[in-house]
Amino acid sequence: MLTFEFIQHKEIKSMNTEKLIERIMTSVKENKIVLLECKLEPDERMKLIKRAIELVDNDFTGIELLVLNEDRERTISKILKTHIRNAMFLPERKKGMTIIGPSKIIKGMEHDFGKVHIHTKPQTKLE
Amino acid sequence: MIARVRGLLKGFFKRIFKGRKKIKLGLYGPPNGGKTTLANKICNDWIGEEMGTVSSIAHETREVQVKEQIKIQSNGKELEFNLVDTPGIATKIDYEDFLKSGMKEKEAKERAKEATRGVIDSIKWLDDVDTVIIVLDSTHDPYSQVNITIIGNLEARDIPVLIVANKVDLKKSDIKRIKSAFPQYEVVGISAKYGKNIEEFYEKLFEVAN
Repeated sequence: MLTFEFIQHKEIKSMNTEKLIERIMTSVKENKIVLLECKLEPDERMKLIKRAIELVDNDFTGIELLVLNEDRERTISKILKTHIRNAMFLPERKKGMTIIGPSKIIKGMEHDFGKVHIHTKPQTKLE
Repeated sequence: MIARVRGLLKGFFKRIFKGRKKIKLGLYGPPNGGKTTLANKICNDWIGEEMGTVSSIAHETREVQVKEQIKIQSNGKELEFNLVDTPGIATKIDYEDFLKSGMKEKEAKERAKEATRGVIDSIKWLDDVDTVIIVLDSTHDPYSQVNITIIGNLEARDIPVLIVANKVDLKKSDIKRIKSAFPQYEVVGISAKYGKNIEEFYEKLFEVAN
């Protein structure tokens, strides 16, 4: 069985980055695919990757992630605004969606024209 | 969070005082892009020695390696830097992938362990580099979350970036795809293995680092 866990924006908005990452990784280590109702910033994604790799052992092999609604127009003022806000307050949770799942189950993810494709590994049994 | 702002300010001041001190030039990217092959090419060209070993098996480089005081020259200009070759950053490491490369189970598990430490070290070193060369395999899809995350991080800290589209000697190489994925950056297509277009690479490096 493949389990998706939806973490809503209202739950996430009161969390700092470290708490959010632990929340995500707890579910991913239980072989759940997390649908996060926000866009993770690059520094949060890097921390998530680092944490996932720290947890790698013979059973847990890491994560696959996909960020929807990627903002490619990052101006210096936008970047500074985000950093100052994140340093002084809780990180701003931007609209979007981040999907994170265990790489033992997910082979890859892609999105196009409003569709998300999650490719599972052949040995994954879908009941 | 305070560290993040500190990093941003550090990047800002580094850019103000750029060219006045030796820079730390980091080679970053996913595994098997050719970072160490390029590091070896640079080291061979300018100091006459190799930096590390290369292999077709992923995660061959599992420790950050630093080669100090490399001086390069191009068009009458000189650039001095410490070259930092990093293990490839990945979101997953499965010892079973190493088994497929013909390793025994014990060796594969040990390699996976070393590879995880390498990825973590690479991420830690991101805070310490002044200029970064992103080395991508131009035969692969550049729109990966690892690439976007590395570049997004450097962009957020205002660190100068040069993107190298490596392995242009291969038929499937597609530089245009890399250029369209990261239009805000200089992209230079090279073959680190055969030295193809390496002069243009050095010229672009001067532009980005100076």
